[in-house]
Amino acid sequence: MIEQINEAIEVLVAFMRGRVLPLSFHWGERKYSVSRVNLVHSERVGRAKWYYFSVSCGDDYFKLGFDTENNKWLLQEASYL
Amino acid sequence: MRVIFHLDMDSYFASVEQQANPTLRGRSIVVSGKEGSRAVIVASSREAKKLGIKTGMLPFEAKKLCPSIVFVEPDGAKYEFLSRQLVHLLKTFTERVEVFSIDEAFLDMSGYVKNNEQALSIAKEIKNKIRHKLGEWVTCSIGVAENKLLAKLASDLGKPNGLLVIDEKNKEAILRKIKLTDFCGLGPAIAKRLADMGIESIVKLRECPVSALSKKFGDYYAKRLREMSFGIDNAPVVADFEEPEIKSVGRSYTLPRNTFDKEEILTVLLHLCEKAGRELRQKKLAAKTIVIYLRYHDFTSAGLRQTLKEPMNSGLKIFQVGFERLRKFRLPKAVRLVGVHTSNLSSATNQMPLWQVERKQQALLPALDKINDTYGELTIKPAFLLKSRRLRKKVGGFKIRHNTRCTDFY
Repeated sequence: MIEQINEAIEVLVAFMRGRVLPLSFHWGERKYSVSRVNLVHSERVGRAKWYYFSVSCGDDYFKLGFDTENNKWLLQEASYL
Repeated sequence: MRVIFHLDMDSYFASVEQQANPTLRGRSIVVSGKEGSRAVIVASSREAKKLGIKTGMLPFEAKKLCPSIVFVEPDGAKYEFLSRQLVHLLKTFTERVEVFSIDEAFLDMSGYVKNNEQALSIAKEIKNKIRHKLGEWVTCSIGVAENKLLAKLASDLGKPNGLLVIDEKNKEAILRKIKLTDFCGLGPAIAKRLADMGIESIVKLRECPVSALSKKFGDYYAKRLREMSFGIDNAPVVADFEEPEIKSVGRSYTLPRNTFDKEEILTVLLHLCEKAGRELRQKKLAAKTIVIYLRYHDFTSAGLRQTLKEPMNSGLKIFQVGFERLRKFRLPKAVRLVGVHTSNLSSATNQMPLWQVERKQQALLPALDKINDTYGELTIKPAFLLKSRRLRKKVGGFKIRHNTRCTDFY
């Protein structure tokens, strides 16, 4: 079951080999470590460019959005046990 | 030696969703509107296909076949982004790439490969690079042949995750084995008309004189059918830098429920006209012919077609073409879909209108476009749309369909 979340979060990332790699994020007083980045895509929303990271944290799935206009992260959706 | 590749992504939208979300992998999923909605299924996963769930089915039909099916809402931005990456990758192999749809492309590899072994080797390399670039769950099928018709046939026969070459050695055997509808461009309606003539196989099609086919299908298509039966196709691979000019721009939207509510229909129509107008302006085009159409719950249609004296690209003006007549029109049945289609396109000119009010409107449009470019679509919009929600972006809408079987509103 995929749940729409749309909550602002803070994400720790690494800049490696010309890429942005989310490492972990905090949500609901819990820290989630990213075990795998499954897919990255981007979209223009007006002037802003959003990057989306579909990631796995163990068996859970999360979609993180990064708004380059405002430098803000959003937890967009989740599918977790 | 002419060598054409046809590349077709396997269950594209569904595979991309499974790539993004591993909890969906190995499960029957469909990309569609929410469960219980009226949107049709736009893609089904390989697992769902095995259960007979196909594109175009309604969600409840899929649910009947597989009660545990997972519905995933479409994400057009994701599919388009990956599709652009795919085309970018394919262009590293040849400059002659024809994007056939969001998940299909033809590659003219003539000159890059000398024999089938080289073709197979490059096709395998393409498959590997796609897996590397798009993800391990996103696979494709590639058909290799001397022309587009056979290459497409080969990729279809090789699905899923296949690689098939049709050459002189196996061509005859394959052509004798397939159904007529396996050919791209020969759909069920044509197959039925052929069956009425007693033609139900490639062999029978070959035996039929062209004159007999011409009587039924006209000279052009009769010749085409004959060539198909022998696997002949001289159509070139048309790269994007050679693409013909755009012929029409349109938008349609299936309503969440069948309705007689004029206000709802007009709101959606204005929304669609604004989108079509904006696309025309982005492409620096203006349209003279406007078609506004409705599809009823029983899939019959009604429409209004008007050719104007001057071309236009303002969403509001396009809307005004249909507004009065649609407002007065008594709906005979509940409406399922609303659409607008513009054609007879020409380059947009900045000729100054005669009347002051029109001059102001013309000056206003670029300013509105600039605001919407900066802050997102329909940030600024007609007041009539203030209460309405933004319509969902059409997935895979590279080619916008238009129902040509329309009757006038009156």
